[in-house]
Amino acid sequence: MRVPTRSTSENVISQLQKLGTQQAQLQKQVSTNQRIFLPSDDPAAMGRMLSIGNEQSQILQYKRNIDVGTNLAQASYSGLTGLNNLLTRAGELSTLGGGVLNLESARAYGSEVNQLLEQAVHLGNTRFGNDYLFAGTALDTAPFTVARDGAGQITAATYAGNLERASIPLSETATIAPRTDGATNEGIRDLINRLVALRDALNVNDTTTVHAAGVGLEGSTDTILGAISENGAIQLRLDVAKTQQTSRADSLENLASAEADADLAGTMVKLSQTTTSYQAALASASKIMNLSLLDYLR
Amino acid sequence: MSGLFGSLASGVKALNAQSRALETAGRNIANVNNANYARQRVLLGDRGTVQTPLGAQSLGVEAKQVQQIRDTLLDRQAAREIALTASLSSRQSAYQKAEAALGQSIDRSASASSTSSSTGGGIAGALGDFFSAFDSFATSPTDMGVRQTLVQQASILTDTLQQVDTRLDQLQSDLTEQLDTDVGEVNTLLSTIAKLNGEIGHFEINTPGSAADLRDQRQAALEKLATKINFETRSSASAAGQIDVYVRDAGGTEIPLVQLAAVTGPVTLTGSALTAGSPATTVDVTAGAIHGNLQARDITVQLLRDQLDNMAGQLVDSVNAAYNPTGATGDFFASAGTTAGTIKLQAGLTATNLKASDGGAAGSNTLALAVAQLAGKKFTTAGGDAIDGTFAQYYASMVSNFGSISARTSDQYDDQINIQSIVTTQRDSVSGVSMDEELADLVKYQRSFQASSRFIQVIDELLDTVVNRLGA
Repeated sequence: MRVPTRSTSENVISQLQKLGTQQAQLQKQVSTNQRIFLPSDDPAAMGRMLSIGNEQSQILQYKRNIDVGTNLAQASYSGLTGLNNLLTRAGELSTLGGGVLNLESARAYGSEVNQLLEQAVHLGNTRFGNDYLFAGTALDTAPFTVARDGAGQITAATYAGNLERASIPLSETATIAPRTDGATNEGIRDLINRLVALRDALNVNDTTTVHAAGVGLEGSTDTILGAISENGAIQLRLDVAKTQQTSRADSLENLASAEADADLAGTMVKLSQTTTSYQAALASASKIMNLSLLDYLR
Repeated sequence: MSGLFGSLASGVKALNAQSRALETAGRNIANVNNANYARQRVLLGDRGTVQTPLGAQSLGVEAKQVQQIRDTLLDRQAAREIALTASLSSRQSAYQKAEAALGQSIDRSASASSTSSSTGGGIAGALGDFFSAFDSFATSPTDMGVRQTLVQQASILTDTLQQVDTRLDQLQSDLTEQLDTDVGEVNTLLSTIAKLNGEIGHFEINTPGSAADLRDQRQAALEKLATKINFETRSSASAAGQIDVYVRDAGGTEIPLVQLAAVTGPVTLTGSALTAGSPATTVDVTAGAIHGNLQARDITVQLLRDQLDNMAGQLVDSVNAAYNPTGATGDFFASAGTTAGTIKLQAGLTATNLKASDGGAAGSNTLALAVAQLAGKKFTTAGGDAIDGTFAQYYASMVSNFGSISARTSDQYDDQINIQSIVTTQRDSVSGVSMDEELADLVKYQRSFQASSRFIQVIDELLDTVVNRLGA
């Protein structure tokens, strides 16, 4: 076949361009350690990467939710254990007060119970951030409002929260309610009212009523302990969910890596092949294009 | 006749013929880099024969014609391949622009920081972040920061959708502009071809095929026309050397564009159809940049926009349905904007008046949860929805579908470039100028010129002897 002069240079240019494009693409893959960049690089993988990316961002969000839930559960836990400690002491005082005959001593116990009572109201109105912890979903108002007498002593508590319990998403399908339930919150109100009864009974040294109040407080202890163990279960679930999401995130990361990351060894080999071809093309082109009959004619 | 004067005359004719050949070789060399040029050859021939007492004798050599070496079959094939290449090339470039407009890329280095996913940007990221923000809102409905973030993320989502839609719209109008330019160029080329047709007819009245340079120009114009639109040519039945240019409608009927020296069918772009001839008939455009740009503008880019609109519409409908179940407490997205270009937040929506529940307590999160759960909801068009699958799935399949169209076009383009290069190489091997060949010719004709000169010198010396020395 005749090879006209122009074809030689045209061919050289198109081959160099082809090799140049290949070389640039491989170089980009090696330097970023990434195989695909745009949808057209590998459409199917891009589709899968978008799904993986979506799932990854969801998992990140679920992990943030779990963190918030864990914080709430832990805050509730410390509130509940505070109440429990206080109950233990109140139980002791009711036992002591039930046996005392001396009005002075009984009143001394009564004033300690009064302190516990204030403490209980304070704990019941614990805030986490700006939200009240034991208010159901009525987070913005103090759940336990108390009536006080002329001396400033608490006479009764009412529960201003509600019986709802907000759930937060843990995964696509699971939700969890990290706060205490309505019954527990009402239990705290009852606890406060029982403390009021205990204090009042101690103040008048009415052993029968003290005894009855002590029995009532046991009921409160059951409620609080029940809530504490539920809280433990909630924290456990949150922990498990977090571990689960973390391992899901890890396996997704592996999937994403398999889809989008460059096989470094393979890419390097291809790159050096292309570079060699490029050099060969340049060398052969400069040889061929320099050849002319002109150089041999005088 | 012969005799010394006769020989002198034929020597001069030979010199003429060799210099014509030299001149042609020179012209070929001068055009070595001219892609439209077909190499030329001088046809040397006998001037005639006379009867002499010694028998029939030649009157000497003469340059009969400068012949252009072209293979019309290959020329036609080249034009067809050029048209296909142009179509793919314009589609490829439009798709690359659309891909940029979509702005959906993978940046794995960003995911290394572990606070974002592998596919950080684009609509996918904005969509994911939007639902995540609702998740956060459901988790901490009273947190002002979370509320602010939600409003921000929602604005980012609507802005991103609008931006992508605007960019795609801009791309479509750029393509329309390109199409208008192309159509204008087609008409200019058609009149150029018609004019050259006329000139070729005029110059070739006596010697067919002699208007070599005009034929080169016409072929160049035809190949340029092929970059715009597919067409067919044939030798004109009524005048040798001239050609008819015609296209076909969808039924295969010819629509003449150029006949002899006249443009019979200028083309016009009406909407998405190219028409020509009178009465105006829709041309079946199957190749050329006009085909590529029409395909890109009216099919692929339009499909992307339609799919984005479906997604935006579904988003507005379902988020509003979940956020405002009674229809009485205010929407999240403005209900009027149900396309990607018009989607926006409900006027007056702020972080403060976001609803986590329908009038419930501060910590109640029923509405926020309902919206957050839409991220995993599977829609079906069979069930009357605008999209299939979840939002993320729909978008992923839309991107991946567009990516495969783009990738397939690129592959086809690469193949087509190879095919075109085979055809043009074949054609160049017939018509292209080879420098070495011309140099060899140059030497050949130089030597024959020198030899003929030498012959004239010998005759001259003989004549000198006869004229000056005899009888002296």
